[in-house]
Amino acid sequence: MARKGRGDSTEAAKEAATDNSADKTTTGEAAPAPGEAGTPIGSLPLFYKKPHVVTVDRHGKAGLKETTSFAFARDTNSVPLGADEILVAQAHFPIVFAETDPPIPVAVLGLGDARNVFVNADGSWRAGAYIPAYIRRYPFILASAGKPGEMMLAIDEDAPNFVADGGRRLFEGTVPTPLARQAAQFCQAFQNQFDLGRAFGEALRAANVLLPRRADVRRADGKTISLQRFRVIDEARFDALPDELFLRWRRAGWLGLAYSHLLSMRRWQSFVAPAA
Amino acid sequence: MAKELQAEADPRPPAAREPPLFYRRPAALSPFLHVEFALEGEGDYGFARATNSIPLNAVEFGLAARHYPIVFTPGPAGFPVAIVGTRRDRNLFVDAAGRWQESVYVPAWVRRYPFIFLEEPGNKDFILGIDEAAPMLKQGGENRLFRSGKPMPVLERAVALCSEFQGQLALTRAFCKALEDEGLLADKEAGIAMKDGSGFRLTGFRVIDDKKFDKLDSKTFQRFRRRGWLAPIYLHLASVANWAILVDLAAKQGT
Repeated sequence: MARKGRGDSTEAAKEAATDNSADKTTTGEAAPAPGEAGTPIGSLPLFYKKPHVVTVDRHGKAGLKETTSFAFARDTNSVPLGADEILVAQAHFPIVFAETDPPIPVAVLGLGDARNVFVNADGSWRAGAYIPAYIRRYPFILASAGKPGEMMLAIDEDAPNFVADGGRRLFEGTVPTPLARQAAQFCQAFQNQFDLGRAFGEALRAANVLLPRRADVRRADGKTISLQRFRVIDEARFDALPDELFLRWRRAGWLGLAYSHLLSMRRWQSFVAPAA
Repeated sequence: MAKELQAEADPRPPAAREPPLFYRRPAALSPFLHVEFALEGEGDYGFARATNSIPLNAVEFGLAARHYPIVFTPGPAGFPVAIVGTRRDRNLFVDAAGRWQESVYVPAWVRRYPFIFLEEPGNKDFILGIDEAAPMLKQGGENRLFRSGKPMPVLERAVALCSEFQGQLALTRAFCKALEDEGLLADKEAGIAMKDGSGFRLTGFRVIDDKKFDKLDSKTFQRFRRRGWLAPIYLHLASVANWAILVDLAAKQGT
């Protein structure tokens, strides 16, 4: 039995229900967050269909067409967030933890059969809404280069704005252009924050404060849209954390992230009504 | 007498009391005095266009931190405000037609206007008041405040909104007092150079000094935790990133 939200269009993130087969309920799952650091090319992260390490031999003439389209992100209902994004993102999206190992923070972008509600029909991103770095870096990504710990810039050659010859180029002769250099910096910065987010998830799991939940949101037409297979911090457990551990989290910088995550539970409503 | 009433909702210390921001003639609502009064033009925020800061309760920091830098007014009794403009008299989030920018949080201070709770000396209950000079207040009209001497639903909603606001105000004052007592607030100014060579400088506000906050002793920190004050502190600290939003808006609007 799918559980219904409390009253009209109130959100309710509830403990996991095992059965979600009610007719009037459509259910999504938080997208499995791709393994990031050290993921070899071959296990493809979300969006990336044909990522390839950027080399002058292969991409000497390649470039990117100018685009403002986020259509590539239309079919996902969640993306990973870097640790430094969580304080900003809490005002825009519910932030939950994917059922990955360790659990990583993700922004929820859609519920039920709606995928990413922040991408408009024309491919633009909803005005005023935050665009996660995971999406902004596309079509670039860091890939492990074989040697442990070494990461290299890669690009999705299947990206809609990728051109084999032309556009804003990746190389000027054999020298990477500012576009390529900035992309590498951006990807590295995101990677660092992604790793921090993962460490945060690991700390939460180790402290046993994450519980499986599902979200059920009642729409104006009476239909309930849901999301399941994710975890959130249980407030009672968080409040009961021993002082010593709490102070350790203070020093680690996890508290601001934890409070932001808890606050973001008020944003489920944004899937049925505009933000207050 | 209305003149003896004080606007308790004003966060400033009594010495500094003048009518609270936006309120020019707050008066206790009376079915006799205001029998003809009606509200018109809901959703017109033109009254909030000529300011660059709006008081915020701590509970609002989550949504306010989406767009506004959150700072504190000068001591000794500082109160949180959302910075909404780079110039003293211009709210960048309200356009010439009085519309608040879409999908941007409208602070409760603005949403409750023109209503306000007033305090009468010797009476601990609040009295619902209204700004008699509010632009949306008309003599006669559809949306009357009273009919046959009875308050209309619009006034019940106003009481609910003002009660909620008053409760949050008390919590916010306690929060601010703790920040003052621990010496966590430091004077700050924001100076920003615009691309076209112009710039602005905002002064006369305070922020939490993050170094002092980092050094706050564990016992006090745990007390802040129990009181629910850590979340607003982290949100306030994160909201400095929003100065960039103001700069962009100011550039776009050419102010």
